[in-house]
Amino acid sequence: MKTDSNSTIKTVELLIGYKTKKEAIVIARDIQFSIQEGELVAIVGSNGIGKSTLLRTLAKIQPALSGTIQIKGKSLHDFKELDLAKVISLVLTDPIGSKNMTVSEIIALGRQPYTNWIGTLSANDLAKVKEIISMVELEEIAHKKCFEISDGQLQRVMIARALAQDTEIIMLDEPTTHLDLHHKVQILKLLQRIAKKTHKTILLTSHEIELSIQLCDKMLLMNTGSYSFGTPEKLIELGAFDKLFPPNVLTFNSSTRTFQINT
Amino acid sequence: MAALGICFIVNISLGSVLIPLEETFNALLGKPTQTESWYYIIWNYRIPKGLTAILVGGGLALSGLLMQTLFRNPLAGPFVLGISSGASLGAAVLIMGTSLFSGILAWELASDISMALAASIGSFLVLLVVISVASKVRDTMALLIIGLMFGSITAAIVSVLSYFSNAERLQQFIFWSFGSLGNLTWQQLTLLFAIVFIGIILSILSIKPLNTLLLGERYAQSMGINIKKSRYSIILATGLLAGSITAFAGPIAFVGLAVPHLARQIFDTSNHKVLVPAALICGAILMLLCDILAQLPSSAKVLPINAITSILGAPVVIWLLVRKRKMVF
Repeated sequence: MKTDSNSTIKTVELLIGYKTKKEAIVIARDIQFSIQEGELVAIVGSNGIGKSTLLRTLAKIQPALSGTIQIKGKSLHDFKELDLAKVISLVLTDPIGSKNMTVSEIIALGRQPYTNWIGTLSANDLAKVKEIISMVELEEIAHKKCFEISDGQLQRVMIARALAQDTEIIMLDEPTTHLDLHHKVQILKLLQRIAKKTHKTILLTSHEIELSIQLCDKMLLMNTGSYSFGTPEKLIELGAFDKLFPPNVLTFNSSTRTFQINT
Repeated sequence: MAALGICFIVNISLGSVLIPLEETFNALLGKPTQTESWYYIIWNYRIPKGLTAILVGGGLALSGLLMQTLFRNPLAGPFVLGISSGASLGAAVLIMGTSLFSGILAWELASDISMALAASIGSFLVLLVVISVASKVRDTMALLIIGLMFGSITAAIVSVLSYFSNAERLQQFIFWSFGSLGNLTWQQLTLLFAIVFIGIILSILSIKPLNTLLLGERYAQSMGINIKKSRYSIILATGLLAGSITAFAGPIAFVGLAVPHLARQIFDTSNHKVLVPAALICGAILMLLCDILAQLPSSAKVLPINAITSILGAPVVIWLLVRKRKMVF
């Protein structure tokens, strides 16, 4: 059993959902897992199962109904906004409000938690932005406005912005949606590279189960009323993927690690 | 800045009474002019009017910029969201509503400071309602429609008040609603300046959150911005700016909506470090120009300023939309 300080993200008996005036709508209950430093972890499950809700709860965008979340051994509840911004950065599905900013301007916004009251970028901030632009290979489009670049490029820009925030944890909500297979792989490989190279902990929700099996260190499979957590190999061994979708349409083939359509 | 200075000089050198440019400079520098009345006109009428134009134009443009970023909607502005209608309601209730209840007390109430207060309260109330609805309605389009609905509700209440009001009060209100830059004394101008100044300071303090808000509220929050606090200070700034200006100068249309777009086009950026001063200066220049036009150079007639801003502002917005086919925001 590992101690708390070893795990970057740890949840205990986590209950997630929404509170309305009359009642609490529970989306998923008793979620318990721990993620170590430098791991790339995918949360998968069918639509509406609560992947994004879980991610948003872990990022403190919405409150947990009950249970605890610990980030580096400290309760998420105890983090102030600014302190949390130095530990967790996000890539969301929300469309960005203004596309009239250049790529480097957006990436530089990631330095906000470290800048002064009016947001002046120091030499250090500028160096960091430059370093990240070359790391994510965005040099060619760095001066373009965001309405001039493709969806795949924009997603890489948003990842670069999260990197500029220089946090130990990056959480991404469906970073590969709307992209073709090539760009999906490109994004996931980029995340894998970041996790390996910078030892950042990366948590993402995804519909790309087959790609996640190949690229992620661990996976969290969410089913109605239950979940499984572990390495892809372990989850295949346990047959967890068979239970992910109703059995009459898709079957998981554990030797090819792919889903097959039942004929 | 230079353009602003030139516009200011041109603005005060023109008016219904013809005063030579040379004499205008003399008066400005405190030297005696050919006739005493010119000196008086310039110092007690034209300069306050010019300064009012600067405050009104700059302040309205800034409040429009704040609203557009807060709602991340290019159509937002003090008018569309019903803030100005709120101010009108406040003014209407004060001017016409008081006459329904009491006679003598009302005259006391209708002093300028209470007008400013009533209009500000009106705009704040509408703004608060819009914001509380905004937190429930995520869809910004719905929010704009709600803002427009508030506009028509207040317009309806105003017309009910007008119906029961006496002619004198009605006229007072209608003149107020035409918009006017020229009726302010130095004292009122100082008060307007103080309120607008607070609004500008609050806006400058909000530059950092405004820039992060360009990505969206959740992103802003994830970057350590206290959303609630930032939202309130942006709303407070908008309310102070639009509320006080509407109170003193009447509901002046289009400046708040159009100028932020002009500033974005001219400076080709969305960075508020540039846009906040740019909106202030562009707004001030535009207002001075509108005022020059309103005076109908070489004539003694003065058109209502509100008409000029709309006649000038509406084509600008249409031109922007048609040219870009898409609002770059």
